[in-house]
Amino acid sequence: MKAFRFDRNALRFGQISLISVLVLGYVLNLPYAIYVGALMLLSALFVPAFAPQLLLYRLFVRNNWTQTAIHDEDPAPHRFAQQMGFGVLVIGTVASIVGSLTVAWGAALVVIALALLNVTTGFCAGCFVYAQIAKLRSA
Amino acid sequence: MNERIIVIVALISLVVFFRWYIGWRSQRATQQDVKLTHFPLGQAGVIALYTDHCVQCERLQKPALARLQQRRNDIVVVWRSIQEEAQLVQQLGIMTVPTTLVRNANGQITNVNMGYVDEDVLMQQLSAVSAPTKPVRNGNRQMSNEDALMQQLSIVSAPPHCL
Repeated sequence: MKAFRFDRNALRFGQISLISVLVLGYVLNLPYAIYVGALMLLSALFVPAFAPQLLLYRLFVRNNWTQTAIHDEDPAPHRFAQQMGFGVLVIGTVASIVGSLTVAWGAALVVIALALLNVTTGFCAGCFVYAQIAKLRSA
Repeated sequence: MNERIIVIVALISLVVFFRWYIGWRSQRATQQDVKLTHFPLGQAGVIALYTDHCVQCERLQKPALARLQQRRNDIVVVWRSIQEEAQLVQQLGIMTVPTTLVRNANGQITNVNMGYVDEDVLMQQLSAVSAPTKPVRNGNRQMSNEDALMQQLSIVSAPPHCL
């Protein structure tokens, strides 16, 4: 296991940005918001230095509105959550392109709900599913 | 547009309710008359519940508990799979992993944390049930061989996939 110096506030800000974009897109019925959300997660995964939400955090939020919350921890679980979110938003994007807006917004709402849960409680949806499966097996 | 706002408000309410529900279940679990006998009475400690393939258990909770033991080498940490502890899981209504149960010296559960918690939270919970027997050590300080041995001995078991 490799631990990195990791700013939890940057992660929180990224999640809040994603939630805001998707909620605004949903309320104003702008399917482009789903593409933007997918791009935000894609950039955070592969080029974090250029991810718009992280740039915004570094340039304006950090040290002005909030302090850094640096922890030595493994970013793997957070990356896994971002990959899951990206996967669901890709499904939403494809559904939106082929004209199935109900599926597209359904995918966006799932991401909003899970990101909200994660940002407020650190809840891990995958862990919850694993725990339920293990409980069913042992029952 | 109005119905979309209602959907978002309902979604946020659902998330708030779920958060409250987990807190309520955790609180209720501490009121159950359950005694944990995973390590000798007279010693406070933490029982961490995990499942295989749980990324948070291995990558976040396990290092957090290791850091906790560096700061409090008088406490015991036990890792148990939730399949091994099916009865306890059912009795306490545990919903997710990692879950950490804080036990006092009498074997009673004082805190149930469903989901990842860092060592600072666990330190606070443990200091309420048992004062450190040694002063809190600086995490950066080099451990003596004796300290390292004490720490190894106090880890009763660890998840197989974490070793």
